[in-house]
Amino acid sequence: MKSKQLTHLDFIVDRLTNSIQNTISGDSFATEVLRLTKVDLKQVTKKRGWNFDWKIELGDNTKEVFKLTIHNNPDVIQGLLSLTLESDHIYMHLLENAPFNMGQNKLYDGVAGNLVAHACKVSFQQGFDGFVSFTAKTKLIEHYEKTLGAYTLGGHRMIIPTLSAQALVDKYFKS
Amino acid sequence: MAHIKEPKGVDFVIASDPLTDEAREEISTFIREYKKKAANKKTRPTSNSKRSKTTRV
Repeated sequence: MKSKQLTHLDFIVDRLTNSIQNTISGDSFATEVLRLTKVDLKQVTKKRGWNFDWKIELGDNTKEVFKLTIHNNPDVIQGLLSLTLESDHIYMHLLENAPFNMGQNKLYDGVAGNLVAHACKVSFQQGFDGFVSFTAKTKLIEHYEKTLGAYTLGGHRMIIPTLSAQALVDKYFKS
Repeated sequence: MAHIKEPKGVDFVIASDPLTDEAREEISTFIREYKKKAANKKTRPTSNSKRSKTTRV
């Protein structure tokens, strides 16, 4: 049985420059992935349309919680991600687009892919060779296989292996 | 810059189950096997590599 290694949580988050695309204009906007703070919690409540309780995620010391924002506009959160550093990979617990980035009238495309690519980047930084695991909804498994290059393990569990992770990092973080 | 778009009418949301020790082991096994295969690919000689000629004395 493997025990959780809480000491893994001291990695450096650099200011990654990527982009998301406005669905109306088609314009791309440079983005940043930063840690979620307590101040941010005021805008990510269920009342404001978010589905998950991000206060619980942030309060869990085993998890790292990140926000995706547009460069120079750090107050508007485009999407959130929580993950843990396991012994040999990154495990994504929750990933959610902002309410205005959900559904057919979403404002920006690429938010979720951007956050998954960030998880892959963290995996490489931690020496996990890009491996990122998560649980998928049935209807999204095929989509994740195609777009993320993820493999299906038992049940709904999926894993992004090294080559696919590298492709995602290259897609989002290389100019 | 490329973007990964969600299929129409589908929102890209991840809400993973808590990771059990059994699941951790399953993931670790996959990672070990993947790395083993990748290492084998690297060491395997390419098909068009020239064979060294041996001469009998």
